[in-house]
Amino acid sequence: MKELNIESTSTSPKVLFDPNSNIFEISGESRPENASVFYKHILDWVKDLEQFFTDSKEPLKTPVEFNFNFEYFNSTSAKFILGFCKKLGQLHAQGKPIAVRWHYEEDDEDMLEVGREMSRMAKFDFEYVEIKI
Amino acid sequence: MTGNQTILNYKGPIEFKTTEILLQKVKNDLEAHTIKKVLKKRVYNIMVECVENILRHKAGDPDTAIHPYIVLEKGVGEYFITAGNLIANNEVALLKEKLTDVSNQNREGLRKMYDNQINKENTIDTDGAGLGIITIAMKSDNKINYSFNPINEQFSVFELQVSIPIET
Repeated sequence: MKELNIESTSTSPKVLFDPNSNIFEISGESRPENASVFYKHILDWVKDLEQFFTDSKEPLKTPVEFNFNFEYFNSTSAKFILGFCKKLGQLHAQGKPIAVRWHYEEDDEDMLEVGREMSRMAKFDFEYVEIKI
Repeated sequence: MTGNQTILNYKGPIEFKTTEILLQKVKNDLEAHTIKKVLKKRVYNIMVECVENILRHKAGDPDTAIHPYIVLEKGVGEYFITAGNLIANNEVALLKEKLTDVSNQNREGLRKMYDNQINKENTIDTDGAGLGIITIAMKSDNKINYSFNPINEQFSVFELQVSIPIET
């Protein structure tokens, strides 16, 4: 499994998918100037993850647990985030050890609701994590 | 509307860099407001969609000096956003149709429209008044108004007004 490490900017989130430390997290604000270019890195990485599962002989000791920790994302990003969730949902449906933890700040019911919508559309149950402020 | 507090009042050219500056200011200013965090995010969210709409759809008329504009005000029970830009007259009918469609929906109808739009393939570059407008309508509880004012044979000023109720 490859590592993906993208530093955050004022308009794009931090992405750290690190198999060595078992951290898979996307966090911050997402309204990049060109969302399709930004999210291509992530969607390419998921293709590689799929290949990794296909090639690996032994099951993983711990599941790959994705932490979505967005402060905010725009409507264009939402489309790509859903694409990412759908892909993870497909892998999960194939029995791959994948989980999604969707974080939201307490009193941010909009972020909780959009997480539920993404989960429904991706046909993949998320775990919801409230962040106390 | 008197007694409104103006948070942002910008008129001028809008490029991606400009949106960063404007939205950062809005974000910082909203931080000082004693309202629920979800409401701050909602106002910010709608501002982003409005500014990005301008960025995506603004037309330039070399014969006029009409720049895009965006205003954010706080009234007694609501935040109020006004966003305007030039659009080509031949785009007015389609945009009007989409806006009418959105404004006729209740919450459930908007959710269905959002579902259809977000699950469409390959519409990112031609999004038009798609996901952005639906998101604005959902987050404002469909408190949107709009107008088209023709300025010459080629262009009109499109203005979008959004009200975001302050819940207590």
